[in-house]
Amino acid sequence: MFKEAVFISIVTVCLSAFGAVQFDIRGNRLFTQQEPGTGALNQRSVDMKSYFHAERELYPGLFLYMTHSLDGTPHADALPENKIPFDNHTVFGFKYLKKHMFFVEIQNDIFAHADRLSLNFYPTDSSINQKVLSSVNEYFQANGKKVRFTAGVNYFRLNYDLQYGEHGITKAVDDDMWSEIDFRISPNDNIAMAIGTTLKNDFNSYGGYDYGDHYISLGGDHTIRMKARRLYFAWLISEHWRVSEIMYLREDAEGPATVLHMRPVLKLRNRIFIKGTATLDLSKRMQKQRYEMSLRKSWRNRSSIGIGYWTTPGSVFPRKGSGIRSVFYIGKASKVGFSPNAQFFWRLDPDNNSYRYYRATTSFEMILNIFKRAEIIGGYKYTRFIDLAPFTNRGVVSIGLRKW
Amino acid sequence: MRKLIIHCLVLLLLAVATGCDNPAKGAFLSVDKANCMGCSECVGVCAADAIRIISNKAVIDPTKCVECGNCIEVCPFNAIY
Repeated sequence: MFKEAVFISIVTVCLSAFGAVQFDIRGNRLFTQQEPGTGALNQRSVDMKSYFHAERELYPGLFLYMTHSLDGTPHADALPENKIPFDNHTVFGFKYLKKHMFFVEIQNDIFAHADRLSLNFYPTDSSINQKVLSSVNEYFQANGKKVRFTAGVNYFRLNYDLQYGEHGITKAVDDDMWSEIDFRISPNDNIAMAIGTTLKNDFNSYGGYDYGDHYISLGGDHTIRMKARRLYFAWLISEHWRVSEIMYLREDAEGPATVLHMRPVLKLRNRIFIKGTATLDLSKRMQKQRYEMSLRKSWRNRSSIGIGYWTTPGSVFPRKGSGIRSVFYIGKASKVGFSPNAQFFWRLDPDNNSYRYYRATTSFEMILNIFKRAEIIGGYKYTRFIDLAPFTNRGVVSIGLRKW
Repeated sequence: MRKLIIHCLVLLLLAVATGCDNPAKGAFLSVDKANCMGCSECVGVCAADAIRIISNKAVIDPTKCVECGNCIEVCPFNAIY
């Protein structure tokens, strides 16, 4: 961990030369339960998470930016579900933000202590060990008065070790390219029609792992004023054509699909918001739905409290969840705040087709504002899983510093 | 217009109350881009190397996904379904 701390210090100094800097750095002490459901939290680990972002305006609208994040623990086996316990992530790029938008960036992820993965497109006895993920990303958006054109290309290269049965380990690469094109026209300020496509080309596997999602859509957003209240309503209807040979062979939901989406937000007096979201993805072999309802009250001193309920019937893992999320600052211009949160989840039990409670998360954070837009944060988070492999019950004590 | 919106809201409430709970064969995992913050927690637990972060949003490759559900449990924003 000492080497990582030195590395972060060097990165911080480099980023400071940029100008606008954001960061969030936290150290965590983790306690987990070796045998889920019994005994005390007894296995201990430490990990750290850091995030730095810096950018500098070279010419009006043209920015140079750099992002670095580190997420790692020396105890790779502390969380069994974590396949990549150490990720060193770096981004370096240019972006142009004016009437038209453009960015080009290179990304690099170095993985250490990564788990061996048995992937479905390799022979049964083989496994891979991820080492380095590099990518080049480009995005372009041209905005007219009534039209908008978007194009993006993302090229990924994964370097990994491949082990086949008892044979030795060989080095290999996996190249994927994700590209998207979208053209939309707005006859007026509230309605938009779009046509586009998202494609994934897999250059190493045979063409069966290519994927395409072609779509045409109609959507809109409307704001209705009702005395002191205001209703914002967004909707979208889109027809998709999903193309994939492997999904066809596996009888997944490829082919034609209809996606319906709507989101009403009602703003009442006294800073109270009621929000609803509904998404339906309907195709020959699928009726996936997602609904979300929430109520949120905020105050002028940045305090807020919200309750929510969400459900995803028809999905691979049909489940329901409910939670409360809050932040309270003491007084009108207080520098001290606290944030109690809780979430509960139920999942459909395939044996008796009824829902059972399986996960609860509670957390409490203290926030101390030390100077403008910079805070010290300390807190505790406890997550309890009931009969859900490979997740273990866990508690995390953390302390950190963030600036935005 | 107001009547139409109220009608839609009533339909939404009815759908939440009576929504079909039976998972259809062939369903795959999706990301709700409005909720996804691009934190990449899901990337670290993916058992099939099927998740990439594109334009600060997670994208699940349905051809690689093995539907282990790990990404759903670690998403802090409940954005995967």
